Amino acid sequence: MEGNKPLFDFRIDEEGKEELTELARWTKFQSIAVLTMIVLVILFFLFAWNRLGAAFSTVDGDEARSLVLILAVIVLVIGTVIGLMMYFLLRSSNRIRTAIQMQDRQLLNKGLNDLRIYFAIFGVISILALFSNLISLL
Amino acid sequence: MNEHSSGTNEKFMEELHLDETGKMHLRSVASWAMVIVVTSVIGYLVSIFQALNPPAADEYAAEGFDKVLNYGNSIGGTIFYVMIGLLVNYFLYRFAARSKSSIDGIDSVSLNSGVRSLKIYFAITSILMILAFLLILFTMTIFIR
Repeated sequence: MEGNKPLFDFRIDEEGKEELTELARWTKFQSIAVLTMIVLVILFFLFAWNRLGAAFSTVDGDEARSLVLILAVIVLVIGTVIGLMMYFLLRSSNRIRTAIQMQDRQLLNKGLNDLRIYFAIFGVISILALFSNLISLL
Repeated sequence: MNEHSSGTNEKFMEELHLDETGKMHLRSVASWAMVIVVTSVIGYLVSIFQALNPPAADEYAAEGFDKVLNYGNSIGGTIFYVMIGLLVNYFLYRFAARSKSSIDGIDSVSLNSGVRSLKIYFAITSILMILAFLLILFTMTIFIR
């Protein structure tokens, strides 16, 4: 039974390993770049908090403050969701690269599972965005 | 010694396989990628429709927005955005289609091609994200000055 396993399993050849390593490199780059962007946006909000209130000077003081607060909450929610996506993408990248180096099938599966979670979150966001786009048409 | 070395080398070369769990995960990744492609393409069609039928300025005013906030969707800008989106989603589509066919047909060449497409997708989106972020940061800096 054990001897039959390779017939049903999918062999990843040298070119495939190379492509997967390159993929892991780019996904790592993207996740680190986006996580850095999130940190920069949060820092921007922290440093520009007072100035943002002044930017909404056309509205009343209290309203301007609540507008900035709403904007901050939206940025925080979006940042958290994207941060979570990037966490899975980064973990996927690290696991796939290590799996190829160590020839570890279990780790490769875990890496692919992380990539699956990343794409699932992305897919759900895409569907929600499409619905909101379609609603705006009505 | 040579035999042992070549045996170890062979083992090293052929050791990494994608088992049923791995194939299931890869199939799921491909399915979600296809969902993203389909929703994106429908979204582009909606954007084109919105660009061709812009709401009147009065509608914005009625919704409580100042006219200054009415940037609208210019046709040129929408076409540019749709073209880039289609290019990016083409690679995602290619990854989804080739990965699925490679798993069904146990074809490693298709899998390699699919992974290459996903790599290109991540490369393009990374560069675009950085450019978009720099643009947003620049705009925000001007906005709060």
